[in-house]
Amino acid sequence: MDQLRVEHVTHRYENDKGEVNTVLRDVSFTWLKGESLALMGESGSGKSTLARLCIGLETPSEGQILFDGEPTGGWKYRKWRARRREIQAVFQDANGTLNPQRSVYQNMSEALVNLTDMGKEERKKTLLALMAQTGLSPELLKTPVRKLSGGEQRRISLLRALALHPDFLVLDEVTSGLDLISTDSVLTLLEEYRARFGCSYLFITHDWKQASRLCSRVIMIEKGVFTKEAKEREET
Amino acid sequence: MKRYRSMIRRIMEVILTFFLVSIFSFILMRVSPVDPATAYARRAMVSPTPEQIQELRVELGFDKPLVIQYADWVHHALHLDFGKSLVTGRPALTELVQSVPLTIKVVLIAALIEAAGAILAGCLLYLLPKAGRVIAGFLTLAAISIPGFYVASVYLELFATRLHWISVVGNSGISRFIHPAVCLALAPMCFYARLIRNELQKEEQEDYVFYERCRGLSEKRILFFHMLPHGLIALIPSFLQNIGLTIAGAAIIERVFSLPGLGYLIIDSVLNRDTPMIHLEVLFLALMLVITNIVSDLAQDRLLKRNLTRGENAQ
Amino acid sequence: MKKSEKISIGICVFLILLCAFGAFFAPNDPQKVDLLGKLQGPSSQYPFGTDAMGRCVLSRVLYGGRTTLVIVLFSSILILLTGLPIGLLMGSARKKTSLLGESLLNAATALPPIAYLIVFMGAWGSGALTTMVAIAASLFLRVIKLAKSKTELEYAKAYILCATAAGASRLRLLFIHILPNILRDIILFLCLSCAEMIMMITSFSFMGLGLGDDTIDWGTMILDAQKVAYKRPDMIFYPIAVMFLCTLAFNILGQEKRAQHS
Repeated sequence: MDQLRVEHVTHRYENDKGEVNTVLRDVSFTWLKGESLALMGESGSGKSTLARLCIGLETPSEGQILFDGEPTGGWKYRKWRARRREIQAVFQDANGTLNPQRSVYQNMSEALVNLTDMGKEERKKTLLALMAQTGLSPELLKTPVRKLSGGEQRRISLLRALALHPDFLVLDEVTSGLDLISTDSVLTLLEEYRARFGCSYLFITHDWKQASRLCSRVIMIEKGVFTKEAKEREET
Repeated sequence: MKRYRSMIRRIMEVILTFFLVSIFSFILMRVSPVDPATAYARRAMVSPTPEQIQELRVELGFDKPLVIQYADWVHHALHLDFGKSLVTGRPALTELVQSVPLTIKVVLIAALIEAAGAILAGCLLYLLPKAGRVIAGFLTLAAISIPGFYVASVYLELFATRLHWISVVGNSGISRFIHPAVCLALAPMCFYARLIRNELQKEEQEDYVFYERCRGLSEKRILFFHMLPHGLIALIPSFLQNIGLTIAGAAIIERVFSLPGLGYLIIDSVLNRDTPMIHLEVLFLALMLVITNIVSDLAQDRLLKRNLTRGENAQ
Repeated sequence: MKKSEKISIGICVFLILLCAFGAFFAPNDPQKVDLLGKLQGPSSQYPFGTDAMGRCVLSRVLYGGRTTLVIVLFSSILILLTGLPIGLLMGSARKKTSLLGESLLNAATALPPIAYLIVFMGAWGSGALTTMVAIAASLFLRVIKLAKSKTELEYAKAYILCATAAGASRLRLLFIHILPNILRDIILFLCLSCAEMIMMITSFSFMGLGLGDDTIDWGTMILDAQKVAYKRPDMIFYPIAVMFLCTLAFNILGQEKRAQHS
């Protein structure tokens, strides 16, 4: 995939009581291969929803998302699965993005197991290589998930997505809740990976410094509406 | 307008429950290996002949197709005519109406005893940290593992036969209800005592406790006026729901105490395969459960809102 | 902490197995009547003495255990294997399960198991089959509801989102990701249900709605023991004690594992 376009997307949620909440209003942007965007806004502004829409976990109420010009609106689960190698996502959750019932190795190899034909040996090699390149000790493969620190968990989640070498990567608040050292290690991992393998990031955050470190373009979102777009650190 | 959606759903569930329950018992009758007419005949007569059974079947209306039987029943039910008890011959509704107040009284008294006892015991256990934990843990488990009928039997034997505190025959007034109520309340009381203790321990971690201690309020005051109410709020919905379940469970205790309440009636009906009575009783049980569930849901909604605002204030 | 928990779990499981399979170690034939030797106290031949018909109380208690526990354990396992997958599938349905279906499930599970027993017994009369079917029906629906709501909860969590993004198929999500996370809670629930079931079976047979005239059951034993309490007041303790320990064991298992979990 070379281009992801979001066109006039509006998304609404309806809860049990019948109340309708419009999370995104008529948002549009283009994400080209090779460029890293930051999506910034406060909690509840609709950033995470946009992330989920981009990778097809939900379908927008109105508008469409286009992969290389092809609308993804009607895609079934299977079709999305076929395209998952191209775009991956890492989410943020207070409980952790790793399945506590499975080992670190099983968690990391999830994407590889599902979307590639690699055998166990090959998967292990790929993961170990990636871990070495990004500064994670191979000992981690044997550690139970609960013993990992927040930063380690995040980096492992990242590696799970990166192991596929996707063209696009959506990162939803992957540094929130981490202390400074862990945050730095995560950002460094992302920078080094991009330098080595190339990848386009959609970095969702509320932290300006992190955004400017990683991205060349910033989109700001407030209550579901895009407010500003800035390139090359023109604006503050 | 938006609220109505969930209300409609709830109403639908209620109606559905009633239909489900009544259709359920009807269908079971049909699928039964021994049809009710035969069962009743065998109980009522010495050795019924097939002709007699058939006569009985027609008389009781069991020969018509099931759907018609059900339609008939619903039609009558809407006019509050639930048929006659096969055991006593009196209208089923009368039997029910006579027995229900007894059970309700027992259950309500039991609920009061449970609440009072649990609060007291819970506070006590909370105030004894180490011993409290061990006792609480053990007590709850033991209390819910002892069968109700045994507790009631032992109670009766102890207080009636041995100590002569209660007269076994001819009770009147409140003393008739207190004893079954105590037996009924025992197990849930221990159960809730432990829950209360846990809630109090959780409350202790809250900021306002620390703040009030700094202000110099006595421990007792903090406990009773602040921690306890907050702790209890979380438990109220479950408690209310439990009352509904207690109504069903009172049957066994009533039997032991020979208290002719709803539970006693139910067991009797089941033993005698008194079909019209059973249909009505089960329907009534469903009604009780539904009511208590709704009340507890409403309580949960209201209390949850209060708790939320409290959380914001604490921040 | 861990060690003492393991010990208590071990004890509980041992107790339960003892009750379930103890019948093999019964010293005497539980049905053998010996009217001359009735109501004897404990002896070497009859460790718990004899009942009103001269039968060995210990053997009867053990056989009673077998009856009760076979019903309880067998139903639980069967329902775990059938109800769990159904609940999983229902919980993962994309569209919200139709209003009717969900209301139906809620309505059916609003009735406590005791109501099921009443309805079934009222229609079919008491007996082992009726009891089993009633208990199984109630439990089946409750397990489905529990599995369904747990699945719905898990579905909203981040690791499922991530797994979906990582290309997991729906079946894989359900059985490899969600199932291990909800299994523990389901098993806890089953342990508590087993305790409840033992209590109900025994109570009902105490009131005369038992498992059938030939079946040995704790409930009927307790009832009989009450009648001869004037002569042998201790006889009631044996079935009560065993039933209590059994129920306690299940209750402890249902709770104990929770401590391990958190």
